[in-house]
Amino acid sequence: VENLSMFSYILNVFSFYNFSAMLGGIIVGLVIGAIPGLTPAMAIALLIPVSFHLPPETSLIMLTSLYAAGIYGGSFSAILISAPGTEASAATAIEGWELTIRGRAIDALRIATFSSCAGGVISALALLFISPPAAKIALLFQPTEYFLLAILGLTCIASVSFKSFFKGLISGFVGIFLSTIGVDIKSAYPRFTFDFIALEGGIGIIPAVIGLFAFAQALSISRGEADKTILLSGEKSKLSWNLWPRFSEIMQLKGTLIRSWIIGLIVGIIPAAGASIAQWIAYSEEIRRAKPGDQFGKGEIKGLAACEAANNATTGATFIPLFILGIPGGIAAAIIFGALIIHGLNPGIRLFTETPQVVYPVMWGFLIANVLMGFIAAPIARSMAYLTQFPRGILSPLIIVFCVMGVYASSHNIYDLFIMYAFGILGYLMNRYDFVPAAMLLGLILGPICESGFRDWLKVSRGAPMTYLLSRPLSLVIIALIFLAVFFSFRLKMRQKKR
Amino acid sequence: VIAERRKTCACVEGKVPCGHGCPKRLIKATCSKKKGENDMKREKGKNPLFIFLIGLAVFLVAQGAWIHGPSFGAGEKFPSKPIEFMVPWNPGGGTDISARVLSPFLSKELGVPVQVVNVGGGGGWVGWAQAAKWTAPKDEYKLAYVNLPHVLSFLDPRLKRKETLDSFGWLALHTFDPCIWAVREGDKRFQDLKGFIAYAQKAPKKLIIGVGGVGSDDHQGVAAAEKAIPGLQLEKVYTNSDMERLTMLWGNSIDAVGGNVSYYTSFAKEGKLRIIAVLNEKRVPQLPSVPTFEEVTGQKIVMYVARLIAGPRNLPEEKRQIFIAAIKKALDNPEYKKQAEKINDIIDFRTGKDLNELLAKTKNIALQVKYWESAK
Repeated sequence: VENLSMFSYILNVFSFYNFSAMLGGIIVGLVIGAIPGLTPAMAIALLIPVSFHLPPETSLIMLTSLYAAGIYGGSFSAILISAPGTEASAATAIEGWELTIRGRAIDALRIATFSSCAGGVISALALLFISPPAAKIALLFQPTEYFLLAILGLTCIASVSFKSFFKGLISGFVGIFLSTIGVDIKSAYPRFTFDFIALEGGIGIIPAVIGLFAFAQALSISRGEADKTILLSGEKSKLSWNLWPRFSEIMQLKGTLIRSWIIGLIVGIIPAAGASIAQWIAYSEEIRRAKPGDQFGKGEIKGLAACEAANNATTGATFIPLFILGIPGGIAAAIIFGALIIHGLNPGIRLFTETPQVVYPVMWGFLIANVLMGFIAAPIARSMAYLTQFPRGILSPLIIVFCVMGVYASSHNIYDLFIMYAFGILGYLMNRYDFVPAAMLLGLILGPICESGFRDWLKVSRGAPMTYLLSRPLSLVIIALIFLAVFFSFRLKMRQKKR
Repeated sequence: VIAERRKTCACVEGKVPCGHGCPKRLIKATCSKKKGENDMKREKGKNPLFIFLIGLAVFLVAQGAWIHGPSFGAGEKFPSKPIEFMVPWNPGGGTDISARVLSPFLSKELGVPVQVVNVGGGGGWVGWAQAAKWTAPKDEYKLAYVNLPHVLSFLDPRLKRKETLDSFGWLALHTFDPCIWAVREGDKRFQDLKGFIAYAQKAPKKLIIGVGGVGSDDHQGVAAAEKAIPGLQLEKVYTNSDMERLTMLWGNSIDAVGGNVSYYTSFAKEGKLRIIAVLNEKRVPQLPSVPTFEEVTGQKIVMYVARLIAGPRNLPEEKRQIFIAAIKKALDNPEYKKQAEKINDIIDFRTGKDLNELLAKTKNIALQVKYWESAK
C-alpha cells in the first residue's frame, strides 16, 4: 500500500508553485555552478530565508534541484575553460579541457550532460526505493574506515600522474603537507601559520582548486598568441548542434557509466566523502582499466563520462542518510537539513510515515529536475561553448576576473584571493614542469580526512589499534581495495613502459 | 573578403595561421615579416598579460575601496544608510543562518537595509580581527556577530593575539545555548549522569566523549567537569561538527557526546539519544525532565555557546542605544520569534551590566579551565 501511495505524489510536483520553484532552482543552480568559486552550497544558504515563505515541499524542491543543477553546471566551465565551477568538477577539467582544445567541446558537453542527468536520475531512484537499507552504510563508516578510504583515494594519484609518477607523488605529498596548515582542531595548535591570521583557518579548498586549475589555466592561455583561440590548431572550430548523444555513443560507454554511477552512489552515501571524492575514484578506476588506444590525459571521453557520472550520482545518495538518519552527507546536505528543521520536519523514518505529502514530492521533484536540467542546460552549454571561439587575449583576463569574483564572493576573505593567486602561479609552474596539480588537490582534500581518521582510530580502538582494525570487516574490504588499486596501477605503468 | 585575403597571405600555411602573431588583415603585400620577428615586438595593446594586469589592478582598487572605504555623509539621522552585518563564518553554518533570519527584522527596526556579509576563515578570527580594529565614525555602519566562548581563544598564549574583550563594542546578547551531555538511547551501561560518572571513575580514560574542537564550549564543559569531579577522566575525540560525533556515537565508536540544547533536543525527542545532563544553572524549558549537572553532582558546571552582536568599540553612546533598542525590538517581534524557534535559536536578549557579567564569567571559566594547557 505504501509503495502505491508513493506514486500518487508525482502529480504534486507539477503544481504551479512546485514546478516554477524547480525551474528557478535549476536555472540558478546552473549559473552558480558554472561560475568558478560560487558553489551550490553557498546558493542554498542564501536561499534559506526565502524558504521560510514557501510551503516545505516547494522550498525543498527548489533547494534540491538547485543542488543537482549546480553540481552539473560546474562541468561547463570545467570543460570549456578548465575552470571547475565547483570542487566537484575538478576531475572533469582534466579530460574535458583536453577534449576542448582538440575541438571536441560539444562532444564533451554532450557526454557530460547525459552522464550527469542519467546519474542524477539513478541516484534519485536510489533515494526513492532503497533509502532505508542504504542509510545503514553511513553508520558503518567510522574513523578507521575514513582513514582507509582516504588512503584509497590517495592511490588515485598514481592514475592521474600521466607523465611522471614520481613527480605526481611529490605533488601529492606537498598537497598533504599544505593541508596541515592552520589551527589543528584536535589540539588548538597553530601549525605552520607563522602568526598570519590568514593561515589559521587553513587553506580553503575553493581558492586552492580555482587557483590550481582556473587561474593557472588563464596564465597558460596568456602564453599563446593573443588573437588565436585556445584550440590546438589556433583556428575557430565549427560548433555543432549535436547536443544529444546517440544510442551507439552511450552503448560504447556503458561499462564506464555503470561503474561510475555505482561508485558515485556508494561514496555519496558516506557522510563527508561526497562528490569531490567520488569523481576521482571513478576516474582513476577507468584509467586503471585503460585499453591500448585509450587517450587518458589527452582527451579521453571515457574519463570525462566517469567523472560526470560519478559526481551527479552522489547528489541523490547524499540525501539518503539525511532523510533516514538525519546525517547530512556534505555541506549542501547539511544546509538542506537546516531547511528541513525550519519547516518543523525531523529527519528519520517518521519523515516518510508522517509527512509523505512533503517528502515524496521532494524526491519525485528531484528525479524530474534531473531530467529537466539536461533540456534546460543543453542550449546554455551550447551558447557557453562560444567561449572556445574567443581569442586568448580576451579569454585569459575574462577567466581571471571570474576567478577573483568567485573566490572573493564565496568567503569575503581577502586572504583567500592571495591563496588563490599563489596556487595559480604554483599550478602554472607545475604544469610547465610536468608536476601534477590534480595530485596536489587530492592531497589537500584527503589529507585532513586521513589525519583525523588516523588520530581518532587510535583513540576509539582504546589502545589496541590493530586488533580493532582486524575486527572490522569493512576496514578489511577497503584494505583489499587499496591493494588491488596499487597492483593495477603498477601493472598499467609497467605496460606503458614496455610500449 | 578577409578569408580571401588570408588565403593569399604569405604567413599562412594552408588553413592554419602561421603563428607569427600577424594581425589577420595583413595580406601578402604588407606582410613581410619573417618567422619569429613578430613575437619579439608585439604591440602593447595586443599583449594579454598587459590587458589582464590592468583589469586586475582596476578590480583590486575597486575592491579595496569597497572594503576599506570611509563612510561619507553621516547626517543627523542615524542610521541613514545600509548596515553591514558581518558573520565571521562562511555561508551555511548555524551562525550564518541565525544572522540571515535576524537581519530583515533588524532592518525593519532601523529603517535601513541590513546586509549579511560573510568573512570566513581562521576559526572566526579573520572577521573578528577586522571588527576589533573598527573605529567610529568610520565604521559606524558595521555590526559583527561574535561567538562565546570561541572568541576567547585570544587567551591562548600560543596564538599570540593582541585582542581582548575591550577590542569590541559590545551591544547585546542574541542567543544563548547551554551545553548538554548525551549518550546512546538503549546503552545498558549507564542510565543517567550518576551512572555515567560512576562508570567513568571505575575505568579512567576508557569512556570516550565526542566534543567539538579543543577550546570549544563542549570541550571546556568536559574539562571543567573533570577538574571538579575527583577521578573523572574521559577520553576526548575532537570533531568538526555535531553530525560527525553523532555518527561516531551511533556507530558505537564513542560512548557519549557533548553538544548544545538547540541542536540535540530534536534527536532526543526522536528517541535517537538520551540527554543525561544540561550544563546550566537551572533546567531548560526545552528539556524539562533533564537534570542540571549541579543537581546530580553538587558541582556547578555551567557552559554554553552564546552569540553576541558588537560594533566599533568607541561608538558614541546615543548611537549604541539606537542599535540596542532596535535589536531588542527585533527580538521581541512575534514573527521573528516564530522563525527563530524554527531554526532552534534560543533567544536571550541581554545588554549593559548583564552582558558584561556574562562576558566576565565566560572569560573566568576559560581562564580556570585553561584548555590550551590540557591540550598539550
